[in-house]
Amino acid sequence: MCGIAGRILNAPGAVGRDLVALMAAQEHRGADSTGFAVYGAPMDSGYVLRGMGFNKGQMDADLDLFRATLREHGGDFLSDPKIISDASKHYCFRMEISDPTDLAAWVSDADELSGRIEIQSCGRSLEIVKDIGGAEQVSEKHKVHDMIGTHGLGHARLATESSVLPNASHPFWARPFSDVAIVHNGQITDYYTQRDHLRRAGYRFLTENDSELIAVWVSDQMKQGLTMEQALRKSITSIDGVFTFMIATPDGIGYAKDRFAMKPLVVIEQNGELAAATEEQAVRTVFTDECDVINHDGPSLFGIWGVGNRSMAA
Amino acid sequence: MAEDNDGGQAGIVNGGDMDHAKIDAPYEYPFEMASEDEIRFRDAGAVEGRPAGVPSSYDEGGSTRWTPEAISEVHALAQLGRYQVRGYNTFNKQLPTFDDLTFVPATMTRLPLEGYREKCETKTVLGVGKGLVEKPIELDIPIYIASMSFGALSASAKASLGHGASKVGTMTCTGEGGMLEEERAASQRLLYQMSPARYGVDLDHLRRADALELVVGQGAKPGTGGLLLGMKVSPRVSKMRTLPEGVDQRSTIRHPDFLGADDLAVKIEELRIATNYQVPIFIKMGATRPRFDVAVAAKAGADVVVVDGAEGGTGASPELLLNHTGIPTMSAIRAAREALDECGMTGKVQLVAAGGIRSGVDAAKCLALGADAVMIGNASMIAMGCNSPRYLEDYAALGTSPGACHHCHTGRCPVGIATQDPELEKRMDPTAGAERVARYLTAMTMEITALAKACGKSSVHNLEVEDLRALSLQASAFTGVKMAGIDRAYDW
Amino acid sequence: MSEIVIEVGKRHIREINEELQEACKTGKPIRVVDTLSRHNLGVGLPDGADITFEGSVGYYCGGLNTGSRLTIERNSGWATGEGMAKGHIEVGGRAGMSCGAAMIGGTIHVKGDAGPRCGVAMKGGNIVVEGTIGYQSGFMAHAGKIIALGGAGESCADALWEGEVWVAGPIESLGVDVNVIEPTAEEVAEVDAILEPLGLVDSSRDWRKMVSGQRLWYFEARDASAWLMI
Repeated sequence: MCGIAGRILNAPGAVGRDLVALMAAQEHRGADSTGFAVYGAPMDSGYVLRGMGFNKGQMDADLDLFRATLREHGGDFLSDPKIISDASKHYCFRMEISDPTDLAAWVSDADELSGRIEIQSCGRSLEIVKDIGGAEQVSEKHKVHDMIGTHGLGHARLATESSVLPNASHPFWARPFSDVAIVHNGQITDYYTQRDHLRRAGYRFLTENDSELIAVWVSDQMKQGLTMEQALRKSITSIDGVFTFMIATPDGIGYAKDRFAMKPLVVIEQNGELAAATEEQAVRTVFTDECDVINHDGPSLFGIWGVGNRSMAA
Repeated sequence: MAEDNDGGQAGIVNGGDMDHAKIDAPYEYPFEMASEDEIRFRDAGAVEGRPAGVPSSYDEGGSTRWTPEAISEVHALAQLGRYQVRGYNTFNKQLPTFDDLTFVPATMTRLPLEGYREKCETKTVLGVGKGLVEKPIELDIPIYIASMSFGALSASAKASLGHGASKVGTMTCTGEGGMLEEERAASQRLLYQMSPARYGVDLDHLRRADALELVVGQGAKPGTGGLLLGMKVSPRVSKMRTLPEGVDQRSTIRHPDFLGADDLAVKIEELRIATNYQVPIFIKMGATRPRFDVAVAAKAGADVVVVDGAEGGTGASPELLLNHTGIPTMSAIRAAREALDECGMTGKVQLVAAGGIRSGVDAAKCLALGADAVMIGNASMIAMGCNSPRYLEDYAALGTSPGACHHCHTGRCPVGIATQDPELEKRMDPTAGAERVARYLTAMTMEITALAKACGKSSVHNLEVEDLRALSLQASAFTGVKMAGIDRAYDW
Repeated sequence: MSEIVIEVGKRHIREINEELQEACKTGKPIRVVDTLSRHNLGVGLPDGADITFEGSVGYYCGGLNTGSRLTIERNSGWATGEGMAKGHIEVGGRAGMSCGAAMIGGTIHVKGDAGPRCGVAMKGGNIVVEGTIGYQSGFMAHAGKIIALGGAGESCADALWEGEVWVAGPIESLGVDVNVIEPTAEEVAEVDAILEPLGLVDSSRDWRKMVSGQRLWYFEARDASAWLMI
């Protein structure tokens, strides 16, 4: 139960500012928490991590342990982590790390600490910021407004069947696939079975949120050889319930919608730049002239919007 | 050693002296075999192939799976080619009853109030919490009449409920069938229900209502729309609902103009604008996942959330849904209250409970479990005369009897309440029905205050979970109410 | 006659609607500007007002209308004119999902396409769409006519009551329990009478009229296959 948004620019620009505006316009759809995924300038090597720790009181100890795990996998912090915190018990962090030998293996070990410290995104360019509160509140705390990039996603959450913790907010990272993020509006009705199948295949889920499933499901399909387009098409008949989701990679944003046309998606596209959202009034905060909108409100729709001239077909 | 045998019973040889060779041989009675007649209690009526005195597995059947009820259900499905439909409420024997809870009034640690003398507040205000609504609903008692449509009930039954409720200062609800003029006239406070089917909804009716209710499900059949069989789609019902006369009306379950709680926030704003922010907006739901559903409804902007437990009644429903969907009222209330507490909405959003409330005692237990008010449906019909021992031949014609009738769906209500037949409708004197409803609500309120005062409370709204103890492990596990005596809740 | 201009922008929607209600009392034409696709503009309007929305509007515009004439110059969001009893709503662009949901009277005229569930649960009045109507349009329409000049999406005219869906273009697929019938000349004349004031009569149209198959109207298992299709 949510509002979602996507934004694509032709060249690196104020994508954070636009996503905050897109989400602020949809805050009535869910003000439990707000999150953003921003694709900034990619690093040549190493990853940028965003994450959170659950207990500020043991922050130093937890970060030391986290670093030790990384070192065991051949990576290390490239600089001191940047800590973002306020009066609440949890804290958030941003850090850059050098490449671990095997990303998935390291994430698997690092997730052993997930009750204390949790990676929320990992990518050459992806950064996911999410926290409790409305768009402006989260932006103010995490300086989302100033984040520069080519594209990104936004999400306003009305918690349904999982808790209102910051880590259960969207966007979700497709753990452990670097640079893949998702936002979702709707509810998956066969979530428990699907999650179980993926768990048995070795994936780890850190929340009870059904949307975390979609990110991993799509990435897993692609790992098995499907293109993004094929995976999106397959999701429509493979996942039950109500959904409009957007999945982002460094090359662009894909979307898919359920068979019942329950959740809208409104898009304005102009000269290769694009804004997508649940409600038209949101996209009109980014494109302020009365330009044409495209309503993807039919059933069983999917598609891909590339960034610049990059292709997502691969 | 010959005298050793003297201690043995006559005719039976003491085996103490037998050697091992004899033990290995087949044993033979040292007396003559009894007759089959003796062994088989032939004198008690045993016949060939059937032992006497063993009735359960032969006469009554012993299968726990294929009970007579299960067998008759297969026979019904096989003949009808569809599931069965009926009215009333659940027949599922596994649901707990409010009798599994008891009050623990003030004794030594607390002082009771004088039951016959001291005042106990019963006033109940709904829709006041957010300060958004110009005219919150003020009820003199914490009970109001549940949403039952004109269509399910006769027009005179609806009017009786209105007059009866008005007399004791409480509210009735239109149900999904639209606003009936008789009911509007009779009800000082009327809650106007907007069901997904939106029968007869227009701006005039919205503005003449004292409160609005968006229904997203009901306790008797959550996840399914309303049902009114063709026998009750009379010319007047047909006109109010814009339906062909005599068709079996099966309503939509999803609202036509919002699909989810996120859109609901916008819809609620629309209704506030349409009614100029005058009246509170209720959301009614069947109890399924109240822990989440109630929080979502509260956050989407409702002023009041109504949770209808699995014991809730209905005019017609597929029997499978009546018996096998939803969770008990008592557990739903606890989950709903916890949800409101957790999202900071207690005090801002009121909680109304319904489903299987039979008396003031049940109502008091609901208030203690965490409800701000309760709603009664079946009970108010029974007060009007449902299942009363009159017109016995008509009960018999339906294949039932007073006290067991659940045939609201047929429209052949022997006492003229759940019918659209003008002849049957005459059987309930609307003035007498109104007075019975008023007296019943008064008596229920007295029961609630009697219990509240015994527990030392000067307001019925101060009843709390601590005033209850559970008499069964199950009730304790369902509600978190402490077990009687041991004073601990069942703890997993 | 001078017109009253009401500015929407980022102002509170309650304030805007209160101004709108006041303006309706003057009898002057009203122009609502800077609409920004905001929700709940012009809900519960009285009889007789004439309001133009410059630009696009959000959800429930013209909801529960009791007789005003609304012109939305561009797009409208979900459930335009939901529950309206009387009046006329013109949408210059595209209408979103559930256009005219549960309406009981009046006319909605959409110049572009209409989204899914156009005329869902409608109980009277007419919806004329010059483009196409979306998925599951006419779902459980009790009465009234949904007229699509361009065509229809999937599951068209699903589970109708006594409502009618008229389509003069390609239909992607039919919903459950639909009868497609050849309309009589009188019936076409009735539809033309609705189109005439909108200037949309065209005698060359190849109409398909969809009505309920009535197989789902009765709960009796007269025909089990009817029940298995839902």
